[in-house]
Amino acid sequence: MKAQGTVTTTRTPHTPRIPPLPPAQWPPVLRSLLADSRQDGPGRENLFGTLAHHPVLAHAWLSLARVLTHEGTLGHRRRELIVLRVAHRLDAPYVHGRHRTPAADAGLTAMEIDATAADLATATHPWQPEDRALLEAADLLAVNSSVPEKLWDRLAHALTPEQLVELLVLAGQTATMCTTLNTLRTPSDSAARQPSLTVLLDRDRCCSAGQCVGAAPEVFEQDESDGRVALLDPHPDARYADEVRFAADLCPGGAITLLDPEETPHP
Amino acid sequence: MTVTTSTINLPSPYGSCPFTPPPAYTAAAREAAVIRAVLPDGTACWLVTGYDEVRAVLADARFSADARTPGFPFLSAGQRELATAKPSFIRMDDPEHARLRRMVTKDFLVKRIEELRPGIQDIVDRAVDRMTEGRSSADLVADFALPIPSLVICLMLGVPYEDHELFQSLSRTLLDNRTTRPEAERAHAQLMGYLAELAERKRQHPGDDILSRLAAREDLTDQETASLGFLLLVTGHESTANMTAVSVLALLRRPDQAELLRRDSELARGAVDELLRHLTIIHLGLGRAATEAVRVGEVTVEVGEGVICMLSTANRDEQLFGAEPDLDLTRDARRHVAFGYGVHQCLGQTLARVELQIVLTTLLRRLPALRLVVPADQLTYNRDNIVYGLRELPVTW
Ligand code: HEM
Repeated sequence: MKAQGTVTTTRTPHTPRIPPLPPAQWPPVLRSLLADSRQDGPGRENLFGTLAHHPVLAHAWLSLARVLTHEGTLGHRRRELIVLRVAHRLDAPYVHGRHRTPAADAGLTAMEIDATAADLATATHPWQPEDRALLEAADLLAVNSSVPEKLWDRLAHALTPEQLVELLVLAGQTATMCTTLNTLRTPSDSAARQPSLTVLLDRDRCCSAGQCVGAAPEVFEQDESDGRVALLDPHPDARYADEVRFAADLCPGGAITLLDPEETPHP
Repeated sequence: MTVTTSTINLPSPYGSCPFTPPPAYTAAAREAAVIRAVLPDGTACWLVTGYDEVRAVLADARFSADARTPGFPFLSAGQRELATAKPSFIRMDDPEHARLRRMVTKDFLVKRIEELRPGIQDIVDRAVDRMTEGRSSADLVADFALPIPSLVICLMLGVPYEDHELFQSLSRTLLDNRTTRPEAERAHAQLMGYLAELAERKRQHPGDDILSRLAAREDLTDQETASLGFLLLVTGHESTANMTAVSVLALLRRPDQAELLRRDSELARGAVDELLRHLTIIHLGLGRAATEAVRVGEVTVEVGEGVICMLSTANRDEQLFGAEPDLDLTRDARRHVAFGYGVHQCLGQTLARVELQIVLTTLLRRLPALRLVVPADQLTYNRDNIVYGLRELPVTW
């Protein structure tokens, strides 16, 4: 009894119930998936780190996510509207916060993004009729309510059958993601971000062996125009610090220098 | 000046285990990280056996990789011919080395090579089909290990695979220490002539391949273009082929390890690095010559003195890799120097890794009963070749 009591008192609502695994413990495919989908926006480490507890499921989940993001028929703007609205409706700041960047890339203005988190009935944002129909649908689908005939007609008027099916699946996947992250109390990545060391490159010394990309694909990439190393993040998050140190050690040309408050633990 | 008094003759013979470096190297490594050595032609040089010292030498621009530098160590007359006559960038120093290496780095970027995975998988699947179709045994070297990397590098370079017998036999001659100087000269001239002619045809009828891109450049001489093609063609098939065959043998000798990899193909990346470390097929070491006096470990290497960096002993550093030297596919072996270190570190390493990952996982999955058809002690090894390998590997499944 006592032991249990101790556990509950140390567990504040901010402590994740299942902490995301650090990238070093992910299966390599998961790391390359995250690195390869960089254009889908920053801040997904904790989502991936959570899914990494179940690699097979992670793979299936991310395949669906990839189809919805890159092979979908709704278009980027409609997709982001629905994701933002479902996230707002389910009170999921991780998902809403992280989708601000892709939403802006999809053409939503900052005002529109903010308005996705406001009450539709009372707020004053002048949504176009189609946007409004999508937001109303998201509100219902997020909590698994049925879509009334009138709203369905408005949607069916604007969307093809293919897009309608996709809309339902998209809302469903977003809701599952929100519920999963909320239940586990997974912190958003920006809140957890902790810059640790600074990476300096001497690109003249780079001999394109590719060691750094293998060791820390989240921080290093190879510039396709000249084949040499480039930085994705000069102040990498603490969770990548060990891998960045490893990359600097492996670099055969001595092209990577670290400003490292902690000494390199070279054996 | 020297701290140790022992001298070792290079190259040193193997002991009873074909997977353990020659005992004299291991003994030398115990004694000191750098010791005196004598080359076959009687000249003296240094043997560097320690991990930190090997990396320090290979990363230090005061050590030249250009075989024309006074003191550069040669293990045979044929090697002297190959390295000094018309060198490719593997035997040049910066800035010339960097200029030429950068002509082809873009073709070996991690992303580019990862994109080749499906194509390589296809080549490997067909090689298994061809090897097993209508028969129950084969020579894994000639029928499997050699064709796969040859096909891959031919596709990348734009070399017609029909010519494989020509370039495979010439490469073998060039990498063999028993090759005499005139033989090496002839083989080199023949292969260079072949590539120069091919480059000329590519200039007329370009394809989507490395040789066509090189042939179209104005900042390369014809000789440089042929020499780049030569280097990629020889290094591109010979090392991976040998590594494939000895890796398969290593796994056949350790069914427990083979089973681990068969059950979990996620292990392939780490497993390939451990095999590279354990087998260190560039087994005679890498030569360099000092252009200034340089302190290495406990000794000073004087200007004009040669060093041989022994990768196999560096890859058995107990502090880094543990005291148990045997194959352990779950070991974190990523710090190995089987691909060298410094600016000459293997350009094809990502390609080699991907090829080996696919080859080994596919073979284990498709031929779970793979086994030798001769007793292991009857196998013969290419011990005189720069790249360690097997002459033949007769198997059944
Ligand atoms: C298991 C297979 C392989 C091993 C163990 C291996 C090993 C090595 C080593 C140790 C070096 C350094 C030589 C030195 O510093 O003197 C090297 C260089 C090189 N390797 Fe590989 N290699 C392999 C496969 C390949 C492949 C598939 C290619 C593809 C084309 C390749 C292309 C090269 C090139 C071009 C260099 C010269 C790099 C330079 O001097 O800048 N290698 N390799």
